[in-house]
Amino acid sequence: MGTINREDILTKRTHVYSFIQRKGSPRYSLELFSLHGAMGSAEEPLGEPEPRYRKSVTRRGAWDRVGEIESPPDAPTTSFTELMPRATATFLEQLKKSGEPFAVHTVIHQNVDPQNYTRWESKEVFDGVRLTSFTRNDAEGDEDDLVQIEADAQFAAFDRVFPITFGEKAGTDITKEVVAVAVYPEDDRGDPSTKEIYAITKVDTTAPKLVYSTNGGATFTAESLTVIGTDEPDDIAVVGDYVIVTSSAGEAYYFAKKDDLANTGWTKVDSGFASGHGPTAIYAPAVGSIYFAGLGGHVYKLTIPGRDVSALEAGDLTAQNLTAIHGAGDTIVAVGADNAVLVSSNGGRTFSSPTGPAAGVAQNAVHVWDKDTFWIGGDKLYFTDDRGASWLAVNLGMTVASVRAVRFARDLKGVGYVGVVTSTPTAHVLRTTDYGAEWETFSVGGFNTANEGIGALAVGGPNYVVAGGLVAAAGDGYLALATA
Amino acid sequence: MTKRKIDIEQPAAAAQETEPAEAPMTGGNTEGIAPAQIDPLEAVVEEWVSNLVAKTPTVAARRIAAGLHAAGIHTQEDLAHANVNLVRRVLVAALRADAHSLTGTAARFHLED
Repeated sequence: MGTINREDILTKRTHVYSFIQRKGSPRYSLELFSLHGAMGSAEEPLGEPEPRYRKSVTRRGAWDRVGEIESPPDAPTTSFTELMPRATATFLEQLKKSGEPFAVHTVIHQNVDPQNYTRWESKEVFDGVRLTSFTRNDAEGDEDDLVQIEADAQFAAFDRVFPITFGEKAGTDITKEVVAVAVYPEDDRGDPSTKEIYAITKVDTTAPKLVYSTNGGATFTAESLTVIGTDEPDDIAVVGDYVIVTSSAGEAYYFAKKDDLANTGWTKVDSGFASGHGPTAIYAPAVGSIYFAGLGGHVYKLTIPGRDVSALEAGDLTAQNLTAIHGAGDTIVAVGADNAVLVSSNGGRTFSSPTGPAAGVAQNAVHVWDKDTFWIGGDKLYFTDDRGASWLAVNLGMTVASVRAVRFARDLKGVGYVGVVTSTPTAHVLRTTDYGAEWETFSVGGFNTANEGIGALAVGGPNYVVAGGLVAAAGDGYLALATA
Repeated sequence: MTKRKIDIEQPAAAAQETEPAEAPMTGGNTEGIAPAQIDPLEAVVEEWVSNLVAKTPTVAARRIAAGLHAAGIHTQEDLAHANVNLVRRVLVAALRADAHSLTGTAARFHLED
C-alpha cells in the first residue's frame, strides 16, 4: 500500500499517481485520487491447473495422474484507501453510492504537475472497477478529525500502456495504396512473434496485392491475387482459419485458408449479392457470423466462407453506399454516405436507422463497444452512449478534415486509435488511453508525415497497432506497425 | 398529384391573405413581401429533385428500368402486377431517393447559402 507525502514529491523524479474516471466514457475526465488517497496492490489470480486421476491399472489402490484441466481464475482485485477530514465527502463514498463501474488510471510521471495526466512515461489502465466492500475506520478516539475509508474492488481488465513507435513494414512489396489491414489475434495474449498481419493494396497493374506476415511482422510475403483481377478490393478480415477480402466492384467476396494464401488457393463467391450492391466492408467476429456492408444500403450475412451470402437489409432503410461495419455481441452497426447509420440489436435480423451525427456528411468508420455505445468517424469523431439518439463530437485536439478509421483494443477498451486526415492532406494516428476523453500523438511516435492518407487501422492489443494507407498522390502505399 | 399542388400553394395563399392588412402599415412597400413567398423547403427539395432526375432524366429512367429488370420485372404486364414493395425498393435504389439523401442535400444547401 503506497502513500504520498510532501517529501516524496520534492525529492523523487518519478511519481505514480492514481486518477479515477467515474465512467469509461469520453464524457468523463480524470480526477486525481492520489491527493488524499492511495490505490493498493492489484492482484490477478491466474487459473490453477486441476489434476485429473484415474484408478491405476498396474498398482492396486493407487491413482495415476492422467492430465489436468485449467479452471477459470478468480476475478482480479485491488483496494483503495482514502483519508479525509470528517467534514468532507470522500471520493470512495460517492463511488459506492453510484454503484457504477469506473476506471482507474495509474500514471507514471517524471517531474510534471501531478494533476497532468496527459503526459506519462507509462500508465496502467483498470477497466470496469467495482467496489465490493467498504470500511470506515473507528468513529471514536482522540484523533477523530480524519476519516479513513478502505474499499476493496474487483476489476474486469487491466493492462500497462507504453509509448509506441511506428516503423514501416514491407516497403518494397507495397507499391500501391493499402486499403485495408487486419491482425490476428486482436488481443495481447499469445506469443507476439506469431502475430499475423494481413494487408490488401489497390490493384497493382493487373491485380491487388496481399501482403502478410505470420511472425509478428519480422518478414512479409506478397501475393498478387489475380482471382480478383482489376476489381478494386475494399476490405480484409481474418476469421477462424480463413482470410476474406471484399470487392464492391467485383460484387463478390474472396477467401482462402490461412495456410494456403498463394494466389491459387483463393476462391471467388458472388452468389447472393444483389446486382450493383457489392460488399464494401466486412465484420467477421466468428465463422458463422460474418457480416458485409454493401453499396446501396445493403447488408449481407455469411455463415461459412464458400457459401452464398443472404441479404439482411436490401436498401429499404437507405439507398446510400455503406462504407464500414462493426459490432459487439448481437449489435451490428453499419455507416455510409450522407450520414447513413444502420443499427441492429438482434444480430442483423432487423435494422433501424437512427439519425446520424452530422447531416450530409460521409461516415467512414465505426467501432462498437456494446449495445448502446459506439464510435463513428466522419468529418469528426462522434460518440453515442444511447444507440444513436444523441451524439457527442469528441475533441481530438487537432483540426481534421476526416476521420478515416477508428479501432479500440479488444482486451482493454479504454485504449483506442483513430486514423485522421487533415486538409493538407496529411495522415495522423491518434491514441487514447482514457476511453476517448483525451487523444494524443505523443505516445505513438514515428508516423511518417509524408503519408497523405490512411485507409485502415488494425489493433492487436493496447500497445499494438497497424496502419495502412497512401503515401502520396503518385499512388505508393505504406504499411506501418507500432508496438512497445 | 392534386394533393401535392394544394400543399405547395397553401403557404402562398395564406401569405396573400395577410397582405391587405399589412400593406397600409408598411406604407405599401411590396419589396419585402416577395422573398416571404419562397418556401425554403421547396428550394431544397427542388435542388434535390434536380440532382435525382431533372439533370439526367434519361439516365434516371434507364437506371429505374435496369433496376426493375434486375428485380425480375421484364414486361409491362410484369410491372403492372409487381409487388409494390419490390418496386418501391427499386425506385429508391435507382434514384438514391432516400431520407439520407434529402437531409444531406439540405445540409449542403444551407452551407452553400
